[in-house]
This record gives sequence, structure tokens and C-alpha cells, in this order.
Amino acid sequence: MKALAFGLAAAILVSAPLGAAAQRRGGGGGGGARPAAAPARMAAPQARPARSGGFDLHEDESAPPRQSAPPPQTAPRQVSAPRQAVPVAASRPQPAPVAENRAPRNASHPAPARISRPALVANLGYGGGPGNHRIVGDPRYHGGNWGWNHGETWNPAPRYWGGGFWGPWALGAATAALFGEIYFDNATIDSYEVEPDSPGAELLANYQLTQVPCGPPDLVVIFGPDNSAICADPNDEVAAGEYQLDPADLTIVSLDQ
Amino acid sequence: MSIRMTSSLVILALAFCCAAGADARGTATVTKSTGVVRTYQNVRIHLLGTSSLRVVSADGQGSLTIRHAACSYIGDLRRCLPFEITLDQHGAKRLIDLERGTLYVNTTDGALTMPHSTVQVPPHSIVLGLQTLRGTVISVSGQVDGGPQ
Repeated sequence: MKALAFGLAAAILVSAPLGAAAQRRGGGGGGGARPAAAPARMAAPQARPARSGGFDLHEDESAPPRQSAPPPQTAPRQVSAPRQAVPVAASRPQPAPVAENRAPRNASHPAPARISRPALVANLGYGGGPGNHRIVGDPRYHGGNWGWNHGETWNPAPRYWGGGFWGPWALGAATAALFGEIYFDNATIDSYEVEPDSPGAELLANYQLTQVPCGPPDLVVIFGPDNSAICADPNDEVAAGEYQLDPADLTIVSLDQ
Repeated sequence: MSIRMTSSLVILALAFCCAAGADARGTATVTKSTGVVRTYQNVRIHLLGTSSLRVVSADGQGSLTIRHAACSYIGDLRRCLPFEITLDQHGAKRLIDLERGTLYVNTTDGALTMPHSTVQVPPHSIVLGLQTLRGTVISVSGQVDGGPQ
């Protein structure tokens, strides 16, 4: 019975963020397609005693790497504030991987906005410095770098959209709701719904921004870690335009010249 | 909240109350996509700094090392996203094909409630849920080794 309970408990644990996001939806209007249900296995499990000799995970092992293949890059990439000196090439966002089995796009999505390449290229790499660009300080938070995260540096997690800043959405897992898209450098950047308990949600709350699907013009577009982007309606604090997030202190830097 | 969600959370709560009272160590459960469940009692849970976690089977013959990042806080409850699992067993280290997961860590002296549920994470304990690309669900919960008994 205990094994049964744990099996089901584990299923809900990995799918819990989905439920949270789904709960938040409802009157959103214009949101992306509803995500596919997490492939958690809810079928009645057949409890068996654990075999001796460690864990039974042989079937889930990765294929052995080839001899000549470089070691997988798994270390979390350090996210630095835009004003810090960090090699731009190492942190410049790359086109987001396309989810293999993501939820289908809603036909009602507006056409993606086209972001001008010169403005972004000059600024998207962390460490590029704000130059003459306008910095919008977090109106609610003034605790210095990483104070919003109990003083702990936030590092992006591979495998997750935006490094996990906007929520625990695994790339390719179709667990997040598509929330529009934008074009950048001849590539499409998909945007997804921000999870309520994520750092991204804190950012939106601090600026009193409401996320909307990317696509229409005159939105606030915030570029986050790992080539992620979200959109929001402008307000008194943040005018329409493109911004680069500084995760250290949750400031956003205008990319508009 | 759907009925399925609610019932699952209730089950999760039951699982935790049983597990927490069983021993000071942890319990790992591996649920295959076929529905086969294997439960591993008395696993040892070690936090390795702030970015890794190790779960060692009771017999000491297998260990899972989970690397995680994107740690943030929901109140005092730390939530991280696992991105790599290594199985060290039978003299070999192999990566597990991870899809996604969530790790909750409670380093405080009091129980903390998980978001969107009434489930509590006991003091100095973790709750971990993972799903592999093959659909295997791995869950681990229990007190962190070295924490107050």
C-alpha cells in the first residue's frame, strides 16, 4: 500500500507545476494551447519488493558516450549581471530548442513581433553593459544582488526553458502553455506561461506586469536567461519595448536605442 | 483543481506521513512506465553543497547523484530543478536520461508546506520527484543525513 501511495505521489510531484499553471489559467484569453498532460503514470502499479544491489534503473540509463565525443556540458551556466565582465560569447542566448512534443499552437495567436536585430545583438549577451540604455530598477526590491533569492546566486538549469527562471518547464516535455512567440535573428523564440511561484513571477509582480502572449506590437518584451522571452502589457512603470533581464537584482535594461 | 489532482495530493500527504514516521533516513520509489513499483527503504540522503544531492541505497551498492540548479525560494522552502542524474552502481557510473523534476529542500527546523498543497516537508528533509525520458518516475523523500535526529 505504501509503495502504491508513493508511486502515485511521485507522479503528482513531477506534474504538480502543470496543475498550478492550469489553475492560474482560466480568464486569460488568448493564451497558448493548453499543455498536454504530463506523462505521469497513474495506472495502478504492481508493487514488487526492491531487488538487492542498488537501484533498478538500468533501462533509464543513457547510451554510453562515444570515445571521441566530448564530455557532455552539464554544469549550470553562470548568469551574471549585465554590468559584470563575463565573456559574451559564453552567455549569449542561443535559439531556444524547439519542443519535440509541445502543445500545438493556437491558431488565434497573433503574428509574432519582429525584434530588430541590431538592438538585440548589441545587448543580449550578459556583460555587454547597459551603455546608454535605460535601466528600470525593480520598484519593489532593493536588496542588492541576489537578495531576492535569499542571497543565493541563481544559476540556470539546463533542460528547462529559460533555465527555469520562468518556471520548471522542461524543454520538449510539453508541460508549459505556449504563450506566443517572437522572431529574433531569423529564428522564432517561443514564449511560455510563467509559473506562479517562479522567480519570473516575482519579477512580474514587482513591476506589476501582467503576462500576455507575445506577438502583438507595443508590448513589454523581456529577454531572460537562455534565450527566453516573455511579454507583458506596458504600465506606468515599464513602457512598451524590449528589455534584457538582469537576474541578479531583477532590474531590466531597455534595449531600445 | 481537478479531482485527480486533489486525490493525488491526498495520496502524497499519506505517503509523507508514513515515510516520515518510519525512520530518520529516506525512502526512494521507482515507478516504471509499465506500472512496476520498487521501493527502497532506508536510503541515505546527502546534500553535497548547494548544487548536488546524493541518494545511497541501504545496501550501499547503488547511489544516485542528482545535480540541480535554478534554485529559488518559496517562502523558506528551497526549490531546485534537477538537470542531471548519475547512477553509480556495480563499479560503473552511468547517466540517467532525465526529462524533468523538482527538488524541495527544507533546511529549517520547522515543517514547511509545499506550494499548491497541504503537504508539509519535515525539517531538514527533502522531497524529490523526477521523471526520466522513458517515463520512469523516481521519488525520494526523507531526512537529510547529518540533520538533527
